[in-house]
Amino acid sequence: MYRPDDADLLRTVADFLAGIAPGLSSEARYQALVCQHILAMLARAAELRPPEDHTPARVLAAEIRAGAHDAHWETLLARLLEDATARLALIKPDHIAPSTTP
Amino acid sequence: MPASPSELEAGFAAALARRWGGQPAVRLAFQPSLGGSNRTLVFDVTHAGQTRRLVSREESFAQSHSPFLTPSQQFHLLQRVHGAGIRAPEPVFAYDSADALGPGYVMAHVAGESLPRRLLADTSQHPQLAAELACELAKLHALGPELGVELAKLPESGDPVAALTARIDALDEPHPALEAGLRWLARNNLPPSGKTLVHGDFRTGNFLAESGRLAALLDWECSHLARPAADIGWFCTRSWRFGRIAQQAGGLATRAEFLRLYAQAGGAAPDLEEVRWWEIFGLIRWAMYNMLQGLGHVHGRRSPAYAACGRNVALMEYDLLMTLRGKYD
Repeated sequence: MYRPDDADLLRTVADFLAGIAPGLSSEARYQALVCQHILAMLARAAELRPPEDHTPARVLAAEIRAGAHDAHWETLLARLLEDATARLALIKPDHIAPSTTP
Repeated sequence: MPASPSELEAGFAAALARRWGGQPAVRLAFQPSLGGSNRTLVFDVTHAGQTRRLVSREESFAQSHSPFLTPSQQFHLLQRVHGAGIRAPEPVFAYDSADALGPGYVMAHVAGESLPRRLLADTSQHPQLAAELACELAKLHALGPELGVELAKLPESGDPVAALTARIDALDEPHPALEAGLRWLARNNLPPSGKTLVHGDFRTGNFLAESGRLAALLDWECSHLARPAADIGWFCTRSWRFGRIAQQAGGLATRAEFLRLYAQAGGAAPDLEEVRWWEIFGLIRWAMYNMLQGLGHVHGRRSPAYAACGRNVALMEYDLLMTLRGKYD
């Protein structure tokens, strides 16, 4: 689970552009306001999507803390790394280490 | 809090006049910058024929259960460490309720560069800087836990894994990857002995240097009692090597070299395995601070940079898992 959610991220960028727009040249200001409009649309769409269910993550986190996965530790790490890699592919792909296997 | 430059100057001048008498002339030296949860202002002050540059640090918001020392705790700590000869900014005075500015305190300005990319640009300066940092750290750790007796009751001064776990729990954000890291730390936990006063946020970005010489250690708001390797491990955490991954110690030297320099300066160097333990700890702790910033954004301390912090946790989780899997050194 990561905060803020997609809608908030989009609104944050929209607000930032609205804030700097007055200080821009007239063409850039116009485009910044168009960007604000585009982001507001995407934010509204994001708000309509059903909220993500964090229960599986909460359950897994609690299990790990209780030691329920100690007996198959490497399997757990491999699975968590797979999830983390998939997430990084969206968040910052160039942070993923190049694969060492051919 | 006052906002315009002239209001800030007037507030600062009044604070000085209350303490020093006379009519100090005050000029804001730079545009105020907002970093993290503090407002830092730099003033040039002329008083009794002398001009000096002073730095004002104010806490811009006080959170309940903050992981940071209060301005008053920071000020008292600075008095002790500066008084003991550690290269830290000289504390001048603390604001009180009669001042327009504050809560916070005022320090003497120290010249130097703190931005990592600029500091690390000249690699020929790295050996000197690494040696001076190791030396200053050894000196700090030699002061002993008595100098940090005010800090003994902090959660961080107890079991570090329990303290970090509690900080993460307070954020109510499930992260299985971080749990795996905490589980590993708990199962490989360190002895509770051997604690001393540690800086608590010793990393490239938190010291001032000029021409390869260390000018001052900054940002003492995370200081607590811990084993010395806590500072060394945080310094070596993968997140702040600034592209120089093989130079584990802050992008300046290898882990082994930094330990050698620390021992050479009279420090009781921990073994490599303990430093690695604290680097794993560091990735989880850094993730916690990023979660805190993301949550702060949601609760009203808003900016694009703070908003991005929440997703940055994914980078720390990846680094943590790669380290636990043995793929990262």
